[in-house]
Amino acid sequence: MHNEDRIWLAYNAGDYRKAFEALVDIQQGQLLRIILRIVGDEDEAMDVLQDTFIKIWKNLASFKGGSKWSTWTYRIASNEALMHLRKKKKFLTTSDPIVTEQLTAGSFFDGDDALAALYSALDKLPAKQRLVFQMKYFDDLPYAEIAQITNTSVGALKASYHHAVKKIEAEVSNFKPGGHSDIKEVS
Amino acid sequence: MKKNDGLNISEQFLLENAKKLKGIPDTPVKGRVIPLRLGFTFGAVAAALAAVLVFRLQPSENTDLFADVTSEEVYQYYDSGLIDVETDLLMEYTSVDDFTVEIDPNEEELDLLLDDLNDEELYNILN
Repeated sequence: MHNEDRIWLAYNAGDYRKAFEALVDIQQGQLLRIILRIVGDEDEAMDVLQDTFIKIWKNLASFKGGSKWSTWTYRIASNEALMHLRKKKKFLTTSDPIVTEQLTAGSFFDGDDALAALYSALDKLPAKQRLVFQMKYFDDLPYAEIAQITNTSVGALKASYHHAVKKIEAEVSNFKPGGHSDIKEVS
Repeated sequence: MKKNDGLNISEQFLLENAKKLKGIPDTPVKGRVIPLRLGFTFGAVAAALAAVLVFRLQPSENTDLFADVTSEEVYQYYDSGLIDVETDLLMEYTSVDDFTVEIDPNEEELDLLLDDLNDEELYNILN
């Protein structure tokens, strides 16, 4: 059975609890990735993930199927992560570690130096542009779905991704040893 | 095709964490979003905010439209009963599905949300 079907089956039967548990089983891993890549710190990411699922549970009954379940949950997770980052930045000092430093020092990160360089370049983008880039580059989500998640037009997203790629190309071109010098725009 | 993002999150970790997350329906909600404390929803705050903007978006020398607007002031406008503005489009939270987000006007969350919209976007929404 397709993942979305499993959720719908429980949801349409009025078993919201079972639908929620299916959402946890199916979406938790991807949502944690999205959140971690924005927030950086693992403990904070776990808090944001919990807040995300609290919000999902609170609003489950009002979901009308206007999008895929995954789109809806990505949207909540990315909003929670961006909101957390904004709050956090208000209290950061110049000596505080930034997102990449926290992410690459964490226990979940097992990427190579090239990937660390890519994340480092991403750190220089505005948070929402970083989110768009990551959803397109890492997750290969179609623009139409990212548009729903971020409440942005497809045209604006393409422009945002184009700018992000240009900035990142300039940053990672300083890093020679292979890996992610293959960043290309996707139409 | 998905690319490696360098994050290796073990199935065992996810299984353990799933147990905690599945307990959410049994746990009283207490998080950064404060439910029912002041008895109004995000939609209400958004409506109040829109009303403030209607007042403030008149031609003015002041280029920072939100310089003097406080969260308490937003709530007072709403509480005055003078407002009837559809503002679901105002916030990104409400556009995919019609769920509400309750926020505390005394916290900084509203200010943070406002940061997402520039003056032109707000003006276009309201006109």
